[in-house]
Amino acid sequence: MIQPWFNEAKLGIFIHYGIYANKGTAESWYFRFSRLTHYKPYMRQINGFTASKYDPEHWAELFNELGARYAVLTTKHHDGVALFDTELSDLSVVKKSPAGRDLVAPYCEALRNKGLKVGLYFTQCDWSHPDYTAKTWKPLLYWYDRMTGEKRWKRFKVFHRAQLKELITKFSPDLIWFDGDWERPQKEWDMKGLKEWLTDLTPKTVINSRIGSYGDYATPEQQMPTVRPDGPWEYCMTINDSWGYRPRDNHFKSPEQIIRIFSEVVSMGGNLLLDVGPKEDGTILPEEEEVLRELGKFTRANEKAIWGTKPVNDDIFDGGKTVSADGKTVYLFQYGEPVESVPVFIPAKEIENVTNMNGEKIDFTADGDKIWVTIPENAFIHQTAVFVVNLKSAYEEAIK
Amino acid sequence: MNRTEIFNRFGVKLSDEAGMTYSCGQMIRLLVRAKSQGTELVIPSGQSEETLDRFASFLDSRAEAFLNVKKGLDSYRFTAPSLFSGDGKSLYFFLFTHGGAPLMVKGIKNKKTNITFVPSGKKVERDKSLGLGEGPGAIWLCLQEKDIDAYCTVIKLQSNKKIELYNGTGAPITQN
Repeated sequence: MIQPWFNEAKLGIFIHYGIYANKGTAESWYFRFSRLTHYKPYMRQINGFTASKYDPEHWAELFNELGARYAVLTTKHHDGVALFDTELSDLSVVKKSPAGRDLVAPYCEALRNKGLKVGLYFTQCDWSHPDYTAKTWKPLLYWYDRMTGEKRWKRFKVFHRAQLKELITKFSPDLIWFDGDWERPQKEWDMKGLKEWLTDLTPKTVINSRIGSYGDYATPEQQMPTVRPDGPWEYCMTINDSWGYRPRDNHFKSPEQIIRIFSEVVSMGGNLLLDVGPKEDGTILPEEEEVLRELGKFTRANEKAIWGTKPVNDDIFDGGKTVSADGKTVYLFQYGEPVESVPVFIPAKEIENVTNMNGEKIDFTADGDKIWVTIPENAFIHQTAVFVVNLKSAYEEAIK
Repeated sequence: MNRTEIFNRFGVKLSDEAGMTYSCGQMIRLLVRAKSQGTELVIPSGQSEETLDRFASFLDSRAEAFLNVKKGLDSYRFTAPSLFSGDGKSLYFFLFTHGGAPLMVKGIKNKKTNITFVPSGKKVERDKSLGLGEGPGAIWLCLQEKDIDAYCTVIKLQSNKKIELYNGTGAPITQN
């Protein structure tokens, strides 16, 4: 059973922080397709990873202010470099980088001090481990390895479990965000066994989907669902087009776009895991921080429409829609300032009143099976306005 | 063509029964909804002559968006009203908002699309958000206030092939 906090969370922050932020290369993927020429220069970035302005308290404060309920930090990406002091390998920013210290513990502490849930990203694969072979850089070896390299694979799995156990024991995460399960069939990973082992070791930890087919929730990435997923889900998305820090990527989504996307995710009953890619010194880009702060203005003003609500599937309004747990309050998200009044397809006889988010009444005109609402201009925050239809009975009754 | 002929052609009926007095924009909005439900629009009596004339002339000048059309995108793909052309190669968006709003169209799989205003044929400015694997991402329509019609801004997304929709939950690709 998934922990109930996750379904109620609605908003989380993904943090892709690693040595790749030094030169701003793609995280791990930089060397995946040209390992011979790119691996060494990529790994040299560890020498310039300082975390000199690392301030997870500031992160936690920022995330908390915008209404995020959890965050997920990349504790180890496919490059195999751990952000924590692992006893199982020398490959960590603690032992090899000028940062020279564990970065995960202060992150966990800062989040918990603000009441946020702690998510740790941990990839299943490890493109630096001597016992791990990825199929792209040495396809023949990969296949050979899968046929005959049982000893090495077994050794890798022992390492993988031990490092994961270390992570869980040290930090007691509320959520583990796996990745990289796609490089081998789930049978070879023994994902079923891994999930059972996790359930035994840390029963209250939420596990994402990238553990073969044994995860607690689905993780659509970049492509927003166009069909509502069954069960719990979380849409992970970048603010620009990159997960980690890429100085040349200036394709930032605007606060208008982010608010719009978040409202749609909430209307579809999911969570948004919005990604930031801090610089090597640990600072979040001003462009990204700005977007988060603006999103915060929206979430704070519309808290009741977001948290404690359920999605509405019916075609009652051309925009976002949620309904309160008791079914009596419908929240409608108008995208863009309308040129005139907007229709809501609920009959006036079912409606107690229509208000803004502060409870102030808004005029509407009754028209048979629908009403026409004039949304006040000051209800808009970055082009989205939420207004409230209070019903006389629960929603299911009202729209019959 | 006179007003009655236009209304007949577009499936608009004038009723003898009284009801709410609509603006031209409201009539357009209700007609789009009727078209997406495959029904006619019945307008109550007592409407102003001027509004009815305006409505008729709006339809006449944007006929392609209202004739031989069917239900458009569901609200998970686009939140404003839309209609497909009969051959499925065009999509019409009906916007009742001012400029500057971020308009997101999700999951159009066709790689080549032409997006224009109706009836001017002027190109609509656009941006793109990434998808992943099978998921084509999203198209953003960027409208300025000068592009906005007083009643309803009609936009056409056209492809040389039938418009294909991504029908998924956005699950990441697995390479197993």
